[in-house]
Amino acid sequence: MTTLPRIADIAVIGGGAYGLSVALWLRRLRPDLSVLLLDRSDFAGNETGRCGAGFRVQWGAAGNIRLCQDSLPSYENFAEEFGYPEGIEFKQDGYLILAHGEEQLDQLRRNIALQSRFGVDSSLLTVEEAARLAPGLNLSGVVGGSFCARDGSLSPFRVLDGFHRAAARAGVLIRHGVKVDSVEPFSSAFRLSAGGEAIEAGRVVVATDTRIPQLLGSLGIDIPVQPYPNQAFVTEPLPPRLGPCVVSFAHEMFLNQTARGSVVVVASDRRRALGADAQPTADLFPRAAARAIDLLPALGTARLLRSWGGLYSITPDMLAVLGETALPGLFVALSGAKGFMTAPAAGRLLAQLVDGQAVPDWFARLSPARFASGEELEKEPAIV
Amino acid sequence: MSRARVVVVGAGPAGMMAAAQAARLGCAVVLVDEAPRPGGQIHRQPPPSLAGGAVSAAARPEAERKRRLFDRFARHAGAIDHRPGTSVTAIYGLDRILIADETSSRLIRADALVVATGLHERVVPVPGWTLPGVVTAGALQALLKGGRVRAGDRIALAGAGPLPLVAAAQMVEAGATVPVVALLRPPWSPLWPGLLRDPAALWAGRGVLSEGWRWLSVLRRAGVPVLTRHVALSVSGDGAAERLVIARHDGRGRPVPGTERRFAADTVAFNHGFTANSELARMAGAETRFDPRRGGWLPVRDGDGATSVPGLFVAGDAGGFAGGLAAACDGAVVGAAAAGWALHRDAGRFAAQAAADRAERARHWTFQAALAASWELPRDIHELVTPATVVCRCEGVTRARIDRAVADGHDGLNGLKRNTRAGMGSCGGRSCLRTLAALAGPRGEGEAVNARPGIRPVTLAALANRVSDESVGS
Amino acid sequence: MDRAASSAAATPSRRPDVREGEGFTILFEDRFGQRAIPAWAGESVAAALLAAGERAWRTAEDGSQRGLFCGIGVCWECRCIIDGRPNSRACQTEARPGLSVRWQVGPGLLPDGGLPDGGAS
Ligand SMILES: Cc1cc2nc3c(=O)[nH]c(=O)nc-3n(C[C@H](O)[C@H](O)[C@H](O)COP(=O)(O)OP(=O)(O)OC[C@H]3O[C@@H](n4cnc5c(N)ncnc54)[C@H](O)[C@@H]3O)c2cc1C
Ligand SMILES: Cc1cc2nc3c(=O)[nH]c(=O)nc-3n(C[C@H](O)[C@H](O)[C@H](O)COP(=O)(O)OP(=O)(O)OC[C@H]3O[C@@H](n4cnc5c(N)ncnc54)[C@H](O)[C@@H]3O)c2cc1C
Ligand code: FES
Repeated sequence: MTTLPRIADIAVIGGGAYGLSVALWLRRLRPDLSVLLLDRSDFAGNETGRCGAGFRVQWGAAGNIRLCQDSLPSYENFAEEFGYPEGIEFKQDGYLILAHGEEQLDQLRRNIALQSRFGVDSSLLTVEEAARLAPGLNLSGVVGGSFCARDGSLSPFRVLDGFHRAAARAGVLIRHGVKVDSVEPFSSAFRLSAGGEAIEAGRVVVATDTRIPQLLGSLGIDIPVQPYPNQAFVTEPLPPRLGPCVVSFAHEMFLNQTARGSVVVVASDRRRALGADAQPTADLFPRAAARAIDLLPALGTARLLRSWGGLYSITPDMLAVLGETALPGLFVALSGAKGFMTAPAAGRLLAQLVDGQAVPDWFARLSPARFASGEELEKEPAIV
Repeated sequence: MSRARVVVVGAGPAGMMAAAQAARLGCAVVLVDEAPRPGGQIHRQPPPSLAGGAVSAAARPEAERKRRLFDRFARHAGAIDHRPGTSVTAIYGLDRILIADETSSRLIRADALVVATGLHERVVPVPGWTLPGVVTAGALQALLKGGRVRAGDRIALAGAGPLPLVAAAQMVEAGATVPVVALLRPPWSPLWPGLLRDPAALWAGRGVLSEGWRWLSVLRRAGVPVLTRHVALSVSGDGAAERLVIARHDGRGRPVPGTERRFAADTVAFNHGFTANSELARMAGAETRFDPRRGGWLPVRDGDGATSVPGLFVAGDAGGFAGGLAAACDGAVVGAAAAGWALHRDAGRFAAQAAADRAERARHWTFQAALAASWELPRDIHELVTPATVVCRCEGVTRARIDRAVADGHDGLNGLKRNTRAGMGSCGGRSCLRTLAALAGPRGEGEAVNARPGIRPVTLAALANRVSDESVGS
Repeated sequence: MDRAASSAAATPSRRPDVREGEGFTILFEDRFGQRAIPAWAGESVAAALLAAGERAWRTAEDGSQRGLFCGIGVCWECRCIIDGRPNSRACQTEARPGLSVRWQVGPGLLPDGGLPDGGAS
């Protein structure tokens, strides 16, 4: 491996969707500054490579809606915006959120009302309408749903590759296999230590998701995030069985038939304790396979291709944490468990903030300062 | 408390012997094998309705070995819970091994687990290798042994090691025309230096050598040209294989200009050695090391087959190619060690019971270590993989795409896989990961690819239908 | 390649020994239509197809045709639609009288773009 530079204007720690996006935008905004991105693993080595590959604007908290809404054009025009002709396999067949019972339907109704305030074209569906959109689903017990046609499924590997290449082209120096052990303030700048080497950086963005407290805890900076182990599996490629992505709270499940035909099943387990052990558990298959078949009976004959576990970053309000910490020049980019779909806007706006530019109010409210302010937090209700 | 239980995965020579040994020593044994009948890769059995074809002189030694193996297995079969048509698809710990058949799945517990999953073939891609009619040398054998059918009429073979020769001779005996066998190096020449120094190994290998000699005679009698130091350049044809192009190579695998030769063939078979089925051992946490000749990412094991994970043993070719004879002896040795561990937490407890097998295994190993040199691929062999050649057959990933990723800095195997999707398709990377590792550069072969639960093609319905463990192995 | 000529000539000779018992037929359908393929109990679907001179029974995502490759269930190249089930491995499925094999396109479509269990995609 080539040696690390000793000094950088800005260091970004973490090369997932958040880190790459912010690094890329930093160089786009400031080609005069050196940006160094350090990641301890290989390409897509953490949560972005493990996600369910879904994109939806249909959230129930303004911060989430705005981040996704602002990210959508980037994904729709990814090839041009990031110079990535290969494409990101965006299967824009919409997202169908099912309501099993009136209480859930009421929540969807409230979410849609909020979404429409921001101009999101989502709508409440009857069971019959849902059945027309996704004829293969078992809708027994479903009383309705919500739908937005511009949501969909896209490849995290392609997106990361696109970010990676665009960042490298923009002049970000990317180093994989470098674990940052600590960040310390050091005469109006910061000193990073990585594998015995010291790097000095004027500003630092920490984008290690659930692992942020490991780096910032010792500085007395408290970013309230907890890891929640989630699990997923994917089937062999199948003929078209499912147009839209589907969320069912009753099944604790998210289904996504990707552009390649594989069905990704993200299966949460509300009883599972928070913690950083993301190893798949032995109960995943009987529990989740049965629920997946209940929801989409055609999955019964589908074969499993592989399974994996990953960590959701759980914040008190289930929103991302994006902004400057109490230490000036030290920023965090924490995904709040939907960092894949929000990465384009999160990275762009955070880069503006790091560069000292003005950001919209709604974005400023995602700052870590909100947890200490004592204000009531706007909570996201629409998480599986 | 229930009886100490040894779970054996794979009913090839190694797994059959390990199961028989552990049963003999008093353990409850569960033998899980995804094939419908025991015997593994080498002693693939035709279904009863097709058994009983005439055995040629050249095929007789193998038939004799098979008879001895099945006799030994049969003596203890009553004490073995043999589950054919069942695969192990995940290991969450030795106390939670997920097995599944067509309709149901079970979590079973093992006091000792023996992974005897064998290996599969490795093929170095060349332009045209995805054409219909291009197969592995082992596929020819599998069709013949398992179904008594020959894949084509004019069959050309190319690759490394002895398998292309053996398969060619078997095809000749089955009535095919073999226009050529092209080998990267003579499989016999690396044998002699090692063997002449070790008469015992030579003695142990005499059966294999004379068998090889007999297969060569079959080829000679049929007038089949066996060209050594030749490399396959391409397969071409209109929608399916019609010809194989080969050339002499310069010792490093680069073709010597002007030496190209074309052979008409309706079927082209390749083999460039083997890749050990080590996913289960890796999933269970076993340390691995990379050995390009003997099967790629091999679990590190000691003479008892014990890995870095207590209670986890590896037997037979899953630990690296050593052939069917060594696999059977190894199974007997590892079966004893697994029984010792399961019953007394002491893998050495029954060592004396397997002393003869251990001694015989040592001789086969020495012989096979010499033979393994014939699988050493010439250094520049992957230069022949052109940019447009598909490397990952499932996901259609070309060499050009892989080179781009490596140039972008994704030169570790796991990162390269995620970046290109090579190795993510239906075959789980079994057809391309070795190539991917070779193309990745120095880092590629150092790390094995992650092994995640779900390595076997089980349906969701079978996974959803989990039945309790009580009926297994009691 | 003259399919009819090659299969007619090849059928008996690709089975090196005399088959005991009665043979039967399985049905193979590609975009040219449906044919009866001779088979014997115990043969895999792939063995019967190859013995009849068929070398491909699938179109991959990139448009290329595929057939048998590894022969032992490892590579998944021999996928096809067997008795209505896409992604069945011809080399791992035993032939049965009347079994239906259909050419598979991509992740499991019929050559005309339809779904194997009826309907268009
Ligand atoms: C099962 C599952 C399904 C999901 N489904 C979706 C979905 O459908 N849509 C969606 O938008 N989101 C989904 N998510 C959430 C999403 O995956 C994450 O929010 C997002 O990937 C986080 O991106 P990131 O860049 O912050 O983190 P990561 O991708 O984890 O990147 C962080 C990087 O930091 C590096 N790192 C960590 N510590 C250090 C250190 N000390 N030094 C250097 N580098 C370090 C890591 O190597 C890693 O590459 C899902 C998550 C899971 C687990
Ligand atoms: C195509 C081919 C041709 C060969 N030809 C020769 C030859 O001519 N001479 C020679 O000496 N050696 C040959 N070998 C090597 C030969 O396989 C071995 O020497 C011998 O069979 C090794 O025995 P084994 O018991 O270690 O493995 P195998 O015989 O391979 O048996 C492994 C068994 O494990 C099963 N299995 C694997 N994974 C799982 C799982 N997850 N769950 C359940 N079951 C599983 C398989 O179905 C198989 O039955 C050949 C190998 C191959 C692949
Ligand atoms: S030919 Fe490889 S799986 Fe059937």
